[in-house]
Order: sequence, then structure tokens, then C-alpha cells
Amino acid sequence: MHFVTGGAFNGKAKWVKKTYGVPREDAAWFSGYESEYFHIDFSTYSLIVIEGLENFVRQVIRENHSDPRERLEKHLKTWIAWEKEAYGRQLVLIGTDIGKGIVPMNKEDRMWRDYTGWFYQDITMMADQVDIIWYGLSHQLK
Amino acid sequence: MIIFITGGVRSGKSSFAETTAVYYGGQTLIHYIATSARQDGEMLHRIKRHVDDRERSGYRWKTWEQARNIHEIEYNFEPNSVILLDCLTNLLTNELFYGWEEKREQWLQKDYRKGVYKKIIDGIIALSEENTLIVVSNEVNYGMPLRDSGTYYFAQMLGILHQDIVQKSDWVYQVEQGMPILRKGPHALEKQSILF
Repeated sequence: MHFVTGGAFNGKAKWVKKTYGVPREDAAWFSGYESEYFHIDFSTYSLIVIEGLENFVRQVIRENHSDPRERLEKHLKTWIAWEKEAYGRQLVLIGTDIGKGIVPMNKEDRMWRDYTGWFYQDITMMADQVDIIWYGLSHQLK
Repeated sequence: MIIFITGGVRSGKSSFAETTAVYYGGQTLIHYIATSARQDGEMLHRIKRHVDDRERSGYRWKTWEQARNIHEIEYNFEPNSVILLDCLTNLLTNELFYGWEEKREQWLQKDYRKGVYKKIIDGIIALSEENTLIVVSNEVNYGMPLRDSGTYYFAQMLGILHQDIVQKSDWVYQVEQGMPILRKGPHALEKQSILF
């Protein structure tokens, strides 16, 4: 699994497209910016890209689970299991870093920011490769 | 050639940009494009400080006050000039929100934003084709996703401009606490600064 992060409007998705050569027939792209809900269909692809992870986190928070972090980790494990199931599969996760501003006034935004940060740490722990994108330039963390 | 320099507010990016300009153009007249539109007390004080610094530097500087339309002054430069544009953030603000006093919210229209983008990029290309152009811009952390449309479009355009300029630049520096970090440069020199 490859995790790609960085600030908003830094060209993360563009970098992934260039690096992996998508769009292509065996690739599927799921965007948290286009829809509120992630219907991730794992059927016939060998490359799956999920972008807008921060919106996925917000969606999970709104589902009111007792422990959102645990819930997110469960999702992550399902995705990674898909990747490991067959040889040649690749999972790419793209998440915008939303943790560098001033503490938000309202509680939901604070929770959103916290759970996103924790989720990214969990993803980074499990990732084979992590890159931070800065205006199109990549810096490999892991 | 383009040299792109970013940094936070008071990071020392302007000083580093001036040192870089002197490195390339110290033997000639160095052109300085000032983009500030605000002329109130605080801004005047800051402008004066920058002008004084440049005068004291002992090098020859010529200041062009150009809050918008940087392409207009292209024909004033001899080939191989060194031009310092400080800064892109001001320029984008002045172009994007032009007419805001009259409540002309042109920035809400996609075509208008595209036009602004093209004008700025074309201006930068024109100024850099036969010259050494140093572009200074502000590093901004947005934190949480932006909800106000003006700020959102500004952030989006600044981000895309930065990506485009980084790609076109020979050298890219990010300045932190006065220290330049080389982000992009000719391969052999990748890990060392050109100056210090």
C-alpha cells in the first residue's frame, strides 16, 4: 500500500496519475470529493486509488461509532487484505493533510482533524511507501 | 530561467531572494517588481524598509511598481536581466479580487479565474524567457478545508500556480527561519546551496 499525503492543492492526485499511469482499464479511482459515500468496489481491478481520505474519516465519524479510530482501522485492514489477496494488486491512498491550521472552533471539526491525523498515522505504519507531495515534488517518508 | 522561492511570513524569503538576485545580477542593474497595492501606514513602513535595505546594499536596483499586469513591463528589460518579482501572493490577490471595492465579484466565474491564471503564467514566462526571473511566494498552510469561496478559489489558484512554476523552475527553495532549503535543482548540486 502506498500512502500519498500533503497539503491541499499541492498536486497529489496528479502525481499519483503520473506515477501509476492511470487512467487505465484495470484501475479504479474512488474520490471522497465527488460523493459523500464511498462505495468501494473491489471486484476486477489490479490498481485501486482512494482519494479524499479526510472526507472518508468525516463520514465514519458521522456514523456515530463508539470508537471511530477502531472503525477506520477495520476499513483499512479490509482494503489491505484486498491488496494481499492476489499477486500484482496495488492500493494507493491519498489524503490531504488538514492538521496544520489553527484549532477549529467547533467540536465536529476538531474531531475530524484529530481522527484524520490518527488515521494517517495508522496508514503510515502499515504502508510500504509514503510520499509527501509539495507542489508536485515528492518527498519519500517511508 | 526561473528561480522560485517560497516561505512563510517573516521567514526571510525576501532577503534570500535579494541575495540571490545580487548573486546573478550584482554587476548589472537589478530589476525589482513590487506588487503591493496597499499604501497605508503599515505597508508603507514595510516597503520603505525593503527599499532602504536595497539602497544600502550597494548594488543598483530599479523598482517597478506593478500591482497587476506584469506582462506590460516586459519590453523594458534588456535580455539577460535579473528580475525579482516579490511576491506572487500579492499579485494573485490583486488580479483575482480586482474590482472588489465596487462589489464586482468576478472571481466567482470560472472563465475569469482561468483568465487570471493564464495572464499570470504568461507574464512569468514572458519575463523569464530571456532573463533570470526570481519569483517569491508565500507558503500557506490552510489547515481545515476552506468554506469561504473567495479563500477557497485563492488557495486553489495559488496551489496550481505554485505547481506550475515549480515545474518550470530550474531552482526551487523553501526558506525556513532565514535558511534556504533546496527543493529542486540541477542533479549534481541537488544537496548543496548555490550561495552559502
